[in-house]
Amino acid sequence: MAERLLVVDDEPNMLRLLKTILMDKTGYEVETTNNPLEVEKMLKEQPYDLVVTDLKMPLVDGIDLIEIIKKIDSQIPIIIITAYGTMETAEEAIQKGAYDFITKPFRKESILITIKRALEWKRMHRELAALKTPGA
Amino acid sequence: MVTSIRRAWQRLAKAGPKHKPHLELSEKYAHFQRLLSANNQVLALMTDMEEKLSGDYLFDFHYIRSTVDRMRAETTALVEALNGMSGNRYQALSRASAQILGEVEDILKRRREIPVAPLVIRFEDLNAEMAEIAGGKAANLGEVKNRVGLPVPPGFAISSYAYKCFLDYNQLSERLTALLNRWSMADLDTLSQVSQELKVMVHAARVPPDLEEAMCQGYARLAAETGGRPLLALRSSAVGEDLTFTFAGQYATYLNVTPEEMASRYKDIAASLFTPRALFYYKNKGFREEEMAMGVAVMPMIQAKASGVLFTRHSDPRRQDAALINAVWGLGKYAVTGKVSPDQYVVSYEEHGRVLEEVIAEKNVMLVSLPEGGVEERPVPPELVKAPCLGAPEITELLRWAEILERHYGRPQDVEWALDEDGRLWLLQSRPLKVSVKKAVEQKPRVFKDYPVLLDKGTVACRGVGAGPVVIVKSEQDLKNFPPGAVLVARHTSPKYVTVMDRAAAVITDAGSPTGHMALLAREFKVPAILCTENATRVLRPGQVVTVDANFNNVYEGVVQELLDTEKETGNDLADTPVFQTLKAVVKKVVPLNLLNPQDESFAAENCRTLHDVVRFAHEHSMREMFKLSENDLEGDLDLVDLETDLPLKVRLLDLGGGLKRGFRRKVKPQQILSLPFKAFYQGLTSMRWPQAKPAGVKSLASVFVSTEEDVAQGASRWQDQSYVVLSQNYMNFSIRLGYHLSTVEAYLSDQINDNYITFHFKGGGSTPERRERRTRLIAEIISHIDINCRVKGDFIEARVAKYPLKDMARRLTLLGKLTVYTKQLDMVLFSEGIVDWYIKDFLREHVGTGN
Repeated sequence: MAERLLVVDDEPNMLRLLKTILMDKTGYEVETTNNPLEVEKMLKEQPYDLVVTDLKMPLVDGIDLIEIIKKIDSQIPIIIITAYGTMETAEEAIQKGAYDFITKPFRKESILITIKRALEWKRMHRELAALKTPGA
Repeated sequence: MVTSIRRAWQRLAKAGPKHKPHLELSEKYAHFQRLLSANNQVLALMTDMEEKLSGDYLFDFHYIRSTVDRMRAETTALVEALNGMSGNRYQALSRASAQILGEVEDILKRRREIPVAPLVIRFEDLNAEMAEIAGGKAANLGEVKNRVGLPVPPGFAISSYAYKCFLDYNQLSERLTALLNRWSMADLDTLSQVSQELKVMVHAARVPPDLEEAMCQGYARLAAETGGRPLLALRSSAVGEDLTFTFAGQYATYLNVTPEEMASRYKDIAASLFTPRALFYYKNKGFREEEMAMGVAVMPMIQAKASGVLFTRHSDPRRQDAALINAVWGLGKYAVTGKVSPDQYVVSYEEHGRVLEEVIAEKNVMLVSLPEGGVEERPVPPELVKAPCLGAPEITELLRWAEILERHYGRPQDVEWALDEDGRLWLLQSRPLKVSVKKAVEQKPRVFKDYPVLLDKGTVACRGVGAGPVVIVKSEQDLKNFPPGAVLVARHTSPKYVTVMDRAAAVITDAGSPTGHMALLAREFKVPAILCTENATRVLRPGQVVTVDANFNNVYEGVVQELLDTEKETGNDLADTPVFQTLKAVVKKVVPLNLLNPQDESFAAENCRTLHDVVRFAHEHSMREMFKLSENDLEGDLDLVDLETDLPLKVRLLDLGGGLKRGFRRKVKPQQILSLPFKAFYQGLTSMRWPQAKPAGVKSLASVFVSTEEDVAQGASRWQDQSYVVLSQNYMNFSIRLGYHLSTVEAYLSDQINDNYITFHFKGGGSTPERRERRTRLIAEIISHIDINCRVKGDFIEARVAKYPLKDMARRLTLLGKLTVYTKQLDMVLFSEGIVDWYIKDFLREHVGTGN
């Protein structure tokens, strides 16, 4: 089954570009929203395998969003998109539990590779957890 | 030139103590350095922007904004620096630059405007270019009806301008903004609440009377065309879906609407745009009506027996030759929403409509139109539940549509169709098909082992793959004869290559900079280019067919078809997005180069059309300004020092900074000089080896610099002139007077390839006109051999080389030093053309390493 990705960015143009690329180059299913307030509801309604989110958004920024997402699903990898020159915040995001960050503008291949790695990481985690479960 | 130096020198004595020309010279040099830095910054920013246009990158408006801001700052600094160097003589350039920057700004500020148009437009009068006016859906229906000729029901569009009139009439923009400001909307519940409130507000608004009248007239025409009083389908037809698709959600569509309800449903469609997601956007970005401009397509309801969707291409790569048709009973909504599993037909193009796969689903319910208006779900009659919706004739007809549509649009389409009760097929919508491609991106091997690799180093200036026969370009004549599809191979880069960029398969050079002028042009024309290969002109033979892989920096012998094929597949899927289009428009104002030849009259500030023109003009003229240093600037109270040297040269030096070891002194020894270009040149002056055939009568080094008897006979006096050097750590401007030879060598040498250049001027000398011409020929031929572009006018030589790495430039300067001495030695011996050839060969063999 195709992995489901949720992409969050307040800039509709960026969302469109990301969706176009992810749809064209991969078999992932991609949902997008420009409204970070919706993320909680969307994650509760349907499971996602990975979230890609912009760091700087109105009302709810990426850092807050990491906490919100982790409360719903602690295993879900989160990739943060940062603007050039906000390295400190990107590091803070990693400390809060984001899987990785990528700086705008970026090569298409970079985001695809980052997503692929994050999904593999998630799969390995799941397999490890299954091995550790008695009787599994 | 030296005469003017002398004049300046003579004025020195009169200059008062307050006059600080040294300071002015330092300032001029500081401006020059600032200009060089700004030049590099702007070229690097251009490179960056072009790279983003390659289609490999994701970027947003913020990127364009910040890059343009930096570009404006650097360009302004660059033009100011040139004016600073020249006493504000380049005001025309300031004006040109301000004009271009203003045009770039206009592109960034350009907003989509809702064009004034009729309120209602018949499908007959629409086509695909009218999406701004009628929305994408209605415009495309017009296109299919009028230009493709497939059956589209009669109908009309309510224009985006009508929508603007509706907003204006009710002052909805202002009310919406006020409402958004009243709420903080920090959570979803508030957003939903405000969204509801807004929908009520829009629904309570009035459709302007003239719009209502236009809708009624549109309906009356429809009724006359179809006979009777048809019920209607109102479908929203969004303008600029690229902007709105992400937050607008599902646009409303109303089926089986009575004519009386038309205005009311129109308002419902307008209200449907204000989803919580859209409100969040408007709250944070400000509401702009043009960003959600909307048209509505109005069509008579087709009483559909069956409906469905046609994908003109199957999304499964194994089924690439087939179209996919879905079908349900009744109205098509159930085929799209997934309420009912539809029948599926996979139909082959190659086998002329043979159904490769057919899945007949169990269709228990269907959506039907009610005679009084509205729609209702009904059970499917038992005999039809498992029956196929389509027969062979309909399938064949739909495949015929698919072929026609693909041919017309040049890409797969996603089509909605309906089969009416009389068995007629109608097309209700056609739009580009968007499919998720489930294929792994195959990694291309880095090196194709089956083909000999001729070159594998260099710097990629423009990615891509190209193949063709090698043409080695040495002169402008080579460019004039450049055949289409050939691979341009040259020693160094030149903006003049732009004249063949439209037909070159690839460009390879021995030297050059990926942020230089030509690299920018290669990217503009999307010509694969590899620079700095060091020896392409020696390794590649004219006419030899090669494949240039400017992704992995390899040049193969022969045509590597696999490489060319894989390159074709990688298209740019972002090209039609607004952010990409904006960057493209900006780059068009920035990158193209119109000022190609500095010798042309058209190389003028007034003719700058792009920022590239501005920086090229400024860079060229900054070098000219620096070259003129000695003429205009050596006035006043200068801290000049004498060079202590064994050479029979009287040299005075002026340090602009970092050119000499620290500590004030009246005299310096050569080893106390730090200036990189001077050191290289001086090494040439002192390391000269004598040619085997010495000129008759030459006894010592000193004697060769003394004017000949012949010169004296022409009225010249001996040893009266002085040579001057203005230098800094990276810079040298050396006016050399050797007897009656006057040459000026100017150079800038640094680690920044783009900054590096050498200018060499040579004039005059004693002797007869024939001998002077012979000497000119000798110098011109030798410096051409060391790849310095040379222009000769009578006995005046003007030569320039630029954009080579530091060590290559230093090597050339050393050779110019040797040549300066060498030519002086030969004054008396150039008695025939044959001897000139002999001395050219002698010098090349001894100092350049070639005898040819």
